[in-house]
Amino acid sequence: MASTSLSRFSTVVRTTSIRAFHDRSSVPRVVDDREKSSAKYADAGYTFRYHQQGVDPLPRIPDSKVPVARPEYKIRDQWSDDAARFGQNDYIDLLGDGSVHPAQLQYHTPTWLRGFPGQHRANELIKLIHYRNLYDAKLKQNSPKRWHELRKRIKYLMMQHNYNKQDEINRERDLGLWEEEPDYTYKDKSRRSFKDEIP
Amino acid sequence: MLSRQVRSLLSSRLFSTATQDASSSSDVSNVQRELWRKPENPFLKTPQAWISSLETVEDTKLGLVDLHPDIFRTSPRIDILHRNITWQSVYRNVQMTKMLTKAEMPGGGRKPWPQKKTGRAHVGSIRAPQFIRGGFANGVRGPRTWFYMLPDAIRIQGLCVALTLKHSQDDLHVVDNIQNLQNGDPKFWIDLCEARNYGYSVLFVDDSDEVNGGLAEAQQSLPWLNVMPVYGLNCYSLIKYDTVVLSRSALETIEQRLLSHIHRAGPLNKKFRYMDYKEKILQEAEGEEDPHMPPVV
Repeated sequence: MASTSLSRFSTVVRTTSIRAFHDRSSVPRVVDDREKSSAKYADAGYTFRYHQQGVDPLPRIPDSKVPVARPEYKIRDQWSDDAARFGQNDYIDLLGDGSVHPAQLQYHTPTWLRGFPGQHRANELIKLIHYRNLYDAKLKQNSPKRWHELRKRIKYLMMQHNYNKQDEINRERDLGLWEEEPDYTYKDKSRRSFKDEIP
Repeated sequence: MLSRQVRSLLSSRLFSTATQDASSSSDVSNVQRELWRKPENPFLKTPQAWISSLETVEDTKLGLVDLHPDIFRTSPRIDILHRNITWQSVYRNVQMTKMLTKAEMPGGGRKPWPQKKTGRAHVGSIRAPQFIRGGFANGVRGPRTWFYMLPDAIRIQGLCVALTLKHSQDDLHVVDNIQNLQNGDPKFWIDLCEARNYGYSVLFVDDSDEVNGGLAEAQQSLPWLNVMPVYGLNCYSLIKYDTVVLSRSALETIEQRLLSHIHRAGPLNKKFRYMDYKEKILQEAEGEEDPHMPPVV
């Protein structure tokens, strides 16, 4: 009862601006019913509860004994042995004698990815090429299906990067995976190297 | 909280009396210390710390020690500290999930129904991404890492900032010795931390990577009390623990290592290159490799 009166009240008051879904079409569309062009959906059945604290209970089947599916409640111990020593050897190359680097200590990572630039720098294609370079012979010999799938994926990604992601190709520079050659075609002449041809 | 403040006030009063006592009795033999490459700035005050002993519950001061201003009085660049801590928490992450693509899922080679005249969608494979139980387009691909190395300059500065903050907030203490302490009773160590207002958690840092004696026993039973070697020191732990207690030798080593890096000849922002470490890493990992099968991606 209250809600209907409220909505009635709001329809009376709302004369200046009707809050509606975002509609970017400024061109009037052809519609079968001319009422449709002006009558836009303004209400999807959701009301923001400004003054009501907490969360609405979800609709439940009454007397159902099936527990609600939810992730198990975990208590995280901040002072367990691992957590208390988190980050222990991250500066070992600076504070130690210089023989060990933290990249070598990533024992939780697969061996071929230890110290390899992460996927925010080296994309999936480069990662897979690295994997192929290391394990090509073993794959071909002992797991030909995976070798085939790897080749298919690399081929697909090659096409993807060459045709659709050309603007990202220069991100493959400075990854530290191979020796960098200076970019002879770079337009900024101050950054070009002495190896350039001088006409 | 309030009690801690009151206690800190009390301890500061004790602190001032101890200062007078120490200065009057001239017990302070090691105030002056030769600091390597100390900056020639007349406005820069040399930070100092008390040296105390861990043998008694009460904080007995044995002397004062000069700390290097380049390390213990740098400008508190919180942004650099934040970069360091973010790096520490991120760079070791690995995601092992791999969502299979259309090509990698079994089956799906046959066209499920004719292209036209069925009234159904035109599809070529039951593993197409719009199918339930189909492959994933743009899914999470395979062991994914977030590895990157911060430049040395940023990491060194981060350590200096963390040490500076700890020292200026009175949370950095220097003790003469950590090894071979007499008392290993946890109650003794709880009382000690309480009496000296160490806060909830304490990190002891020593020069050598082995600890013997009382501290080693106490550290077994108290999870919030930990010992780290100098090379294990890092920004995350420095901020995580309420109090950091350095031994005298650890202080010397930290200063020596950090200063040698600050003043070293090469560039400080040298890029970490995988190809420099590739051989070493793969050589170390040879034992983990299966002789025949490649690792499952």
